[in-house]
This record gives sequence, structure tokens and C-alpha cells, in this order.
Amino acid sequence: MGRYLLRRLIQAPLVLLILITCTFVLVRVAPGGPFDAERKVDPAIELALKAKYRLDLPPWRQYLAYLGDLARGDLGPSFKHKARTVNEIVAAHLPHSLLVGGLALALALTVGLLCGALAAVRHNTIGDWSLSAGAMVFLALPAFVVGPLLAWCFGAWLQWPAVNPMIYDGFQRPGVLLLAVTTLALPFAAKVARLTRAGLLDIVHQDFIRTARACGLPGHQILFAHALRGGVLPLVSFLGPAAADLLTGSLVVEQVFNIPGLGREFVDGALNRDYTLVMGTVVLYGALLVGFNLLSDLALGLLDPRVRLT
Amino acid sequence: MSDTSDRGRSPGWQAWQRLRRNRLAMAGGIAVVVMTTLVVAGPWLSPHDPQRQHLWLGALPPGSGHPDVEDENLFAIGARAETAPRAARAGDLLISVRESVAVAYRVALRSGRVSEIVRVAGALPVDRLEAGPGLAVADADGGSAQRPLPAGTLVRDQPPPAGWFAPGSRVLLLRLAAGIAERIDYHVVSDGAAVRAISRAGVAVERAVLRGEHIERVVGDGVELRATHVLGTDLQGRDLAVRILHGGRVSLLIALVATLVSLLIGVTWGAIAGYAGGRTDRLLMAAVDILYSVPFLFLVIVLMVVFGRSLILLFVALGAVQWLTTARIVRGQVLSLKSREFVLAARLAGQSPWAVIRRHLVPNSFGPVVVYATLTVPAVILQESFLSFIGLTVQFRGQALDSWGALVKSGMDALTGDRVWLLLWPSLAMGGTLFALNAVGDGLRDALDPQIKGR
Repeated sequence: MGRYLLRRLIQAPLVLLILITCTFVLVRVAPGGPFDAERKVDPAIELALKAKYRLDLPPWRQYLAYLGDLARGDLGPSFKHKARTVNEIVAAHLPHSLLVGGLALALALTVGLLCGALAAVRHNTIGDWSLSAGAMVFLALPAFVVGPLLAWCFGAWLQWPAVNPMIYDGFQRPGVLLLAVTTLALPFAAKVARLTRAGLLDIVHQDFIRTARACGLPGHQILFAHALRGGVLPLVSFLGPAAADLLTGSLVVEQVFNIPGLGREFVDGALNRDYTLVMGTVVLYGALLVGFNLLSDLALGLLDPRVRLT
Repeated sequence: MSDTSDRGRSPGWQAWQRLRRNRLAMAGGIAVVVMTTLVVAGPWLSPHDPQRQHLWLGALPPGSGHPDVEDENLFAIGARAETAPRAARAGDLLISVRESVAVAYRVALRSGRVSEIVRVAGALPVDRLEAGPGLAVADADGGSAQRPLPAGTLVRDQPPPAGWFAPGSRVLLLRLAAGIAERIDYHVVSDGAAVRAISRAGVAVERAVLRGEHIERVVGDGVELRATHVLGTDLQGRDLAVRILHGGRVSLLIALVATLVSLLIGVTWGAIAGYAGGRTDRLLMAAVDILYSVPFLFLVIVLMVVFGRSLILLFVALGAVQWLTTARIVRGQVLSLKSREFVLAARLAGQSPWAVIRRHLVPNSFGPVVVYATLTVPAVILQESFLSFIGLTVQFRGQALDSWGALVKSGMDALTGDRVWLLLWPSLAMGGTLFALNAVGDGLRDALDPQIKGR
């Protein structure tokens, strides 16, 4: 376990460093600075501005200073919102993203595990097939197709009072929140269901399950106490990378349902060329992702003794 | 496969049999072929142009048609032809504004003088602007209230002609430019209920049946000219069907090229790692492991923000996101192949390592690579559409290439009440293609490697 853990722990900051370096280099070589205004700025003001954004230093020192700032958790000032820092923007908008993302993850895991287990138990029946087909459909359909369709279906078409008007307001409007969370959760639920089904089917044909069955254990006990632990292994290793999809998915869902989350700020920043905001958000997303990967690797190491030995 | 008839057949034949029995995969394959044919051939065969706007048509529901006033016989008059066409009356001078385009200029005034004139498309600064008939002015907040202007000239740092706009206002000027060669003048003469347009040479060209100012029918050369929009039109009056097909071209093209790029990188990387072995292998594969957890899509977004939304960039960037798994697959294949006799023979024959990789190892490891590539194509379509959905549409020669993601996005934005077809058709086209491609990929994988069936 020690070596496995050590390797993961070394790898995680390395990934982050690559990401930070890439974004830093990209943004520095970008054509046009943030202050290329039409009007000529007073040289003194320009110098002061450059000093504020540290553009007066040589690139390698800018890089080191940026790394130092990041280490202190400071993402720097925003290029476009002159009066705000990226930290303030993140602090104002991240909670919304976390709320929707967290709920979606919970929903996806619950629904996915249940459906996957059900499909595995009813292997090769009509229930299994319809669940598998449904999972395939929702895997193929991206959030930006499902989201607008759901919004139209329940809003403009069925005129549900709970989602009409389609204005997001956290728990104040649970209908809208539910639609957003469902949109985000569907592809994950599908993936989780597929992984659970495949993992369980793999397990139930193994000898120890046959032994358990021969000993007369009830079916649900075999399923939950014996099969599920091995069956969820592929699921655990999927959860880390799934965080990335959850983040990109939330970019879309926040656009569709007008959620004031960080994803929307990121997209706006990207379209407005707010370089520091984009950089800060990418680094933050990267850190989240690396953290999730690390967690899922650790969980896998705890659950699966085979992993620790490699 | 334990069928006795399968004995002695090649693995490829057996895989084909397994694939043929997978109805979903076969249906998906047929759907992919049909969709690709439509997307490639459709825009050429369709009478509609995906770019040409007809603002007055607005969003027409699917299946609706209208008299085809878009060809050589636009019965629209005057400066506001593009936004509010009026049918011709006897005695009117008709101008065929085929290929007419609206060019928008933004004009800012400062202390009573014109401070800047900017051609909005391409943000080109202009020093003076001749305002002939055909210039319309939008109101101060750039909205849609437009009125035609009298002739005059706007010059920078000069006050505008009297009565043009209120001092300090920001206005949007629309210039309706028509290609000189395309512009034909017709005179309209009354002929009972119908109105005929007669060109300057005195030849009767077209005939339109009017009711009041409403054009009911247009006849040219004895044939009624009608345009039908099978899937309706979008807000700018562009035919939706041809736009979807055109968007499919963009999506599929990007997906194919990016997949090829990913194959190029992945196969090279994996083959070198597998063949070299030892420290090189460990180093290259450690790099792959690390890159796996880098959120590349965010990097692609940063790339597009920094370097603009060029097509080439997107090819390379999306391809570079996808090569990691290919590299792993190829490495595994090469590892198992390189100790085989034919590789040894090639090496003994004095072939260089590079030649061995290229001629013997890579071609022999292509099966699984192709399977993975068929699953890469829908993944790339998804990513590209995601990018254009959030607003990063690819630009090519100054024009936005609207792929499926952009169409879904504009459908979503236009979604009020009964205009659902604007969202539905692009979504269906994209969802169906993605589903079909995934079905084919899964089917191929199951057929070539029956051990992992059902995953």
C-alpha cells in the first residue's frame, strides 16, 4: 500500500503543475494584452497597471510569483472585472456549482447503482434489456441536448408551475433545481448502471458466489454482502475521471438553466478573454479533478488488495 | 462460438458473423452510412443555401412553404427589402436583390461629431461612409426599430447630416449591399389579377399573383416557384434541414480529422514505447498515466480563447486530447507482437527498428485500434459540439461554421412556445448519430473480442 500511495501522491501535484504551466504559457504567449485599449493610456498609469498584474517582470519571475500566489490560494485579480479578484468570483459562484454537482453525483450514484444491480439480478430479461438500452441512450445524449429538451418539455409544453418561469433560485425553486440536477446526473447514472451491471455479472459467475449460493444464503445477502463489494470496483475507479465530466457537464447545465455557478463565469470569462479568471478556474478545476482522482485511487487501494501489490 | 460451421473459418469471418447477429450494431451501422451520405451529399442537392438569410420569413414550422421570392424574382422593394419586404405594385421599380447582404456599421458620436464608424463584421474602422438609399438606421440601443435614411455622407470628426441621429447616441446602420452583377431592375406592369415584372430589356420574366400586398404565387417560365422547408426555417429564415446537414458536415469532418490526428500521435507513441521497452517504455507510459488526469477540455478552451477559433487548431487540439488510450492499446499489441517470429525475421534481415514498427508491428495491431477509433469519433463530436454550444464556434475564413452544438444552442435560445422544432431536429440529428456511432463501436468491440461482451 505504501508504494502505491506514494506514487499517487507524487503524481497528483505533477499533474497540477503541468496544467498550471500549460495555461500559464498559453496565456502569456496570447496575442494582445489586457490593456490594449483604443485610447493611449498615460505611461505612468500603464506602468502602475503593469505592476499590478506583474507584467513588468521577466516571464520566469512572473511564473514563480504566480506559483507562489497559487500556493497561498490567491488566484490573482480579474482582467475584466477590474474591482474583483478571481478569488471573490470563485467564492461567489462556486457554491452554486457545488450544490448542483453534489446533488447530481448523489442522484446518479443512487439511481445508477439501483438500476445496475436490478439489471444484473434480472440478467437477460426484458427488464435488463430495457435498462441497458436506456443507459445507452442517455450515454449517447449529451447534457446540452437533454437539458434544453427537459426544460422545454416541463416548462413551455407541460407548463408545470414548479418550473415556470425557469428561473434558478436554489432550494427556493426545487422544480428547477431538480431538472438541472437530473440533466447533469443522467449520463452518470447511465454509466454507473452499466459499470455496476458489468461488475456484478463478472462477480456472480465466480466460484465464491456459487459456494455462497450452495450454502443456502438468501439472494439479497449474496448480492449486497458478497457480490457488491467486488462489483463496485470498476465503479470506484470511474468516479475520479467522472468528476471531470461532472465539471464539464455543469458548464452546460449552468448555461441551460441560468445557474449563477462557476461554470458560467468560466464560459463568460473565456468568451471575454478574461485570462486570469480562465486560468484561475482551470487551475481550480484541475485541483478538484486531481483530488477526486486521488480519492478514488485511494478508495480502490483500500477495497482491492490486488491494486496495492502492483 | 461453438457452431461447428465456424470451425476452420478465419477470425475475421467469425467476427463478421458475430457483428451481423448484433442487430443494434447493424442498424447503427446503416444509420451511420445513411447519415454520412446525407450530410455529404445533402447540401449539394438541396435548393437551399445554409448561409442565406431571409429575415422576413422568420421561423417557419416544418413542412411549410412559401412562394420562392429568393431567386431572380425577389418582389421586395427599397431600402428595407431585407427586413420588411413589400410586394410590388404596378408601376413600381423592382430591384432584384438576390445575394443581398446586410452589412452593419456601428457609429458612435461624441460631442456632436462622428467619433467612429466601425464595420461590425470584422470590426473594420471606416473613415467615411456614403449613405445612399439602402441604409437603414437602428435605434440607439441597437434594437430592431429601423428607419431608412436620406442620402448623405458620414465622415469621421465631422458632424453628421442634420436630423440623422440624436447627439451622443450609439446607432447601428444596416447597409444593404447587393452584388453588382446580381442586381437586376424590373418594372412591374399590371395584368389583371396578376402582376408581371418586366426587365429593362422589355422581356416578361416572372409573374406573381398578389392579394393585397401578400404574394400568393410566383410563376417563372410557366412553372410555379415555391420553396418548401421540410424541417422549417430558423429565426433568420434559413432552411433548417440544410443547416443541419451542413452542421453535420462540420461535426463529422472535425471528428474524422481529430480522430486521425489522435491515431497518428497515439500509434506512434504506443509503438515506440512497446518496441523500445525498458526505460523508454516506462517513461512514455508514465507520461500517458499523468496526462490521463489532466482535464484537457479546459486546456482546449484556453487554447481557443488565446489563439482564436481556427479549424486547424481544433483538429489538433481535440486530436491531442484523445490519443492516450490509443497509445496504451498499441503498446499492448506491440508488446505481444514483437517477440513473434516474423518480427525477429524482419530484424534479422537487417531492417531498421523504425521500418519494423512501420511495416510489421503497426499494421498488425490495427484491429483493436480501429475499434477504439470508431468510439473516438462520437467522443470528438460530443466535445466539439460542447465547445460550440458554450459559444466557441469554429471560425473559418471569417465565417462561423455552425456545427450541431451551435444549432442546438440557437434552438435552445429561440425556444418559446411552439418553436420547438428549432431545438428538436438538431438534437435528434446529433443524438441519433451519436447513438448509432456508439452502437457500431460497441458492436465491433464485442465482435472482435467476445470475452468482454456486455460491458
